[in-house]
Amino acid sequence: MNEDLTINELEDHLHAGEREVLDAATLSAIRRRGGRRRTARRTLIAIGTAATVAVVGLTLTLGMPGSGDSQPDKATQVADPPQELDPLAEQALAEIPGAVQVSEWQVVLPPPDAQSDYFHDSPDSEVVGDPVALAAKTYQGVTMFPAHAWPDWLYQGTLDFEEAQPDPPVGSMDNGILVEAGDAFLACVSWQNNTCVPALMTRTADGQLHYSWGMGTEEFLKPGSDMEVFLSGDYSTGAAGQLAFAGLPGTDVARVEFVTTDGNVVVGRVHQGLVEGDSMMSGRVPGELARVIAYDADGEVIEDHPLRDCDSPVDCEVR
Amino acid sequence: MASGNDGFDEFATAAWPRLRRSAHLLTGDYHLAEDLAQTALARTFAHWRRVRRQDAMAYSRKVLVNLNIDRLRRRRMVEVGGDSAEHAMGRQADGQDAEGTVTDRDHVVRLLAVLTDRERRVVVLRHYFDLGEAATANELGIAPGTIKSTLSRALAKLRVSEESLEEAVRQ
Repeated sequence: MNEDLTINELEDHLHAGEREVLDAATLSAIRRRGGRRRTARRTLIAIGTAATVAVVGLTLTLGMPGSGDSQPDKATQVADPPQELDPLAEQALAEIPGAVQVSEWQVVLPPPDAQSDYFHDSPDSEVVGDPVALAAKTYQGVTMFPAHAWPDWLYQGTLDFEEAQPDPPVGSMDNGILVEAGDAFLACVSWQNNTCVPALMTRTADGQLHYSWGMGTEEFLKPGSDMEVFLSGDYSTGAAGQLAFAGLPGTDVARVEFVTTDGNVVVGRVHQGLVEGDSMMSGRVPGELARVIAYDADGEVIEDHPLRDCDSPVDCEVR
Repeated sequence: MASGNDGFDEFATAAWPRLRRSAHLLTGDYHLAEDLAQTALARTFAHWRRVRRQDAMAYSRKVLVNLNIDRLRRRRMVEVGGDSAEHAMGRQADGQDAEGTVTDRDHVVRLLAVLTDRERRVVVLRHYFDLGEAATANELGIAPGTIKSTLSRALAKLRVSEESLEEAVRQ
């Protein structure tokens, strides 16, 4: 091909390599990846309409929807977390560089060099105002990432675990293996130019900010409504804790305290201006959250909000 | 029973060779091309219910081209893994594809390596996918006049004969 080409010859050369056949295994992988993306998109659409409660309950595994059917409005209650590492988690801890054990049964892996299929950023969504860095991370399950991001034994082992469940989930962290997805941010996200709603966002290594999940029932932040509280797993200190969010209508909140089940009190942050006319609060809580107390500028309690245990694993609202 | 996924397997099987090949032409890297084509089809599957009523091949092609543009913008492999396009193209310039074989079709991949990213995209859309000038401009979001000049420059670099070049530019 050192001589001059004609256009027809060029086109013949361009088409010369069309001999690849799509094999069944590749087709299956494509469908699985597409399915993950579809699941994630459905989740975000559900969240975007703010029609359901996005409260993640007693599930210690959750940082992002991904356990169970990946629907954040269907929290999975784990009554008795395992007391030890699953063999696969044990192998991950031993063989994946940077893996850290964060609880008796959980291991956190560093982000792989591949982007999660979870993130599906709609062109119809827009961050309103400045996102707030939370000095915490968000987490996803191994199978939310492409298979090539992991050693075969880890991806396949997690897949086997998921497929053994009655309703096979995608991106499950219930086997105790969590993957750090990125830095956690709180932002107000508007969908199709509607009023923005608070959301947990993830900033990935490439600097992109992705929608993770949104907060609130239909009554959330409506005048006269009660506080709503939302939880996400937080392992950024190297131990299992919770990243807690709360919201109250109005702008009276000047101080917030997050109280854990063992009596520790964490003074949280109040994010006035994040949602216009309302008060959002956040805090990183070691252990498990028991109550949230909001105060006004005079030190008067606006609301002392004990978290209620989940009666049901579905639409579990922690108050 | 009908499902929302009806027809996807047949579409994917038919579209795969072209997506796979075009990704190879765009990236110069065999494995990267496989990943790009897989990702394009996975995204097509995610939207299949809507996409199948439209031109599914056009949708997949557009996803693939945009994925490659994103990849080059970020200058690192985020979703598909592997080396940068420059490295990938550089490796092809050695005359070896990822399987270590030298085949006739690799010559065109090596030739394409001398083009800029944009020139490569224009050549692939115009002369591989056979899109018209306006359609290529629309797909890449650039002016038709830019397509013409970019193509003319690219074909000259590819040593397409003067006669043929004039014919191509006239079309």
